[in-house]
Amino acid sequence: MEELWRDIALSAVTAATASTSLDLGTSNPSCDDASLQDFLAGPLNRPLVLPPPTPLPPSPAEGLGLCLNSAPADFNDTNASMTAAAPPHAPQFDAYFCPANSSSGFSSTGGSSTRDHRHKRMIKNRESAARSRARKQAYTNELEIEVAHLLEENAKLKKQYEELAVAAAQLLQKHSPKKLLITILRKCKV
Amino acid sequence: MSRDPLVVGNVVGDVLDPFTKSASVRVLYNSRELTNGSDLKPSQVANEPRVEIGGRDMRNLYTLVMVDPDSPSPSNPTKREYLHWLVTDIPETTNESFGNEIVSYESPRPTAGIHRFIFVLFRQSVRQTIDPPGWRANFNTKDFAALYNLGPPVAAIFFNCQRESGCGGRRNPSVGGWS
Repeated sequence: MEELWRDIALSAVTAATASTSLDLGTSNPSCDDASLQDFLAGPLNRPLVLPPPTPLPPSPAEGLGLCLNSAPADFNDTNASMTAAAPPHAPQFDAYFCPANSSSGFSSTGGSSTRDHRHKRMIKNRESAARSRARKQAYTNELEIEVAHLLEENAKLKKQYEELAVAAAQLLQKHSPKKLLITILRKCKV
Repeated sequence: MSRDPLVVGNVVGDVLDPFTKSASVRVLYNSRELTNGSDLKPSQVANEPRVEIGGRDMRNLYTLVMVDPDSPSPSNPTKREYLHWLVTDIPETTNESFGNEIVSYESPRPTAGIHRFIFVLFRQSVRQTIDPPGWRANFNTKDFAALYNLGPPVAAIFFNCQRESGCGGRRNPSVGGWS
């Protein structure tokens, strides 16, 4: 499966560098990789459309390799999570494979509406998954912040306690407990 | 790449512009302090919470807005943002019961999906009369703040809520999670 990804990617790279007919349309970095699957499923439907090679990262093979060598689940993850917090290597890779507009131009003869439905469902599911991940991550981050804050507060309070304990011990050494108690009680009455 | 829960949860983005927190707020439902990004059930948020504004200077007044950007459903938020509560003239060091309730608290009752419910706090420059909007749906917090010269938010906190019998976003029948 991963070999397949690699082969496809490499062929797309060579195609990208050689290609002259580029349909930019509404190409935008945030279009999802549902279109990649469709692109792979129906090569006869539309010509190879890729954004211009300018968004190439400095080492294209390496950039792709980063995504491809990970499991497909990670691949989905990097692309979907782009909508939340963009990971560094996803955008270029995404720009490579995303045809301009994910929802247009996929209809062909027969069964196209089913395909559209499936496609839309897939996109909705991806978005839902992205929201779910964002929710989880946001809560985790909040907890981490709280933990850090509480640890700091705890350390500060412990230190304060130590200092107060030392001061109290010193006072008790100097004066009799009875005298101290009377002094404190007097101060409280005021 | 921000780790701020408000950014990661897309509160900043969907509802607010990036801002710097400059006020301290606590939201308490049933005496329990709300943790940002946590999950609550409609039964737990049926009644209005206590919103405590920290600080020292009672002369500072605050406006509190509570909205749901995921109404009626997060995948199709046609009513974004749905206004749940609007209170103005809340003095610093006190809570919302000391302010002016312009729009009463409406209990969250999401039917579809998992919604975010966001509390946004603004510092007022003057005591001001704010007119209630004609309806709760399609409120725009940014426009509202611009209209009344409230400036950027000074604090925000949110929680997630789904319908009482919701499955928590999980459909897998096996409880353990490994199937």
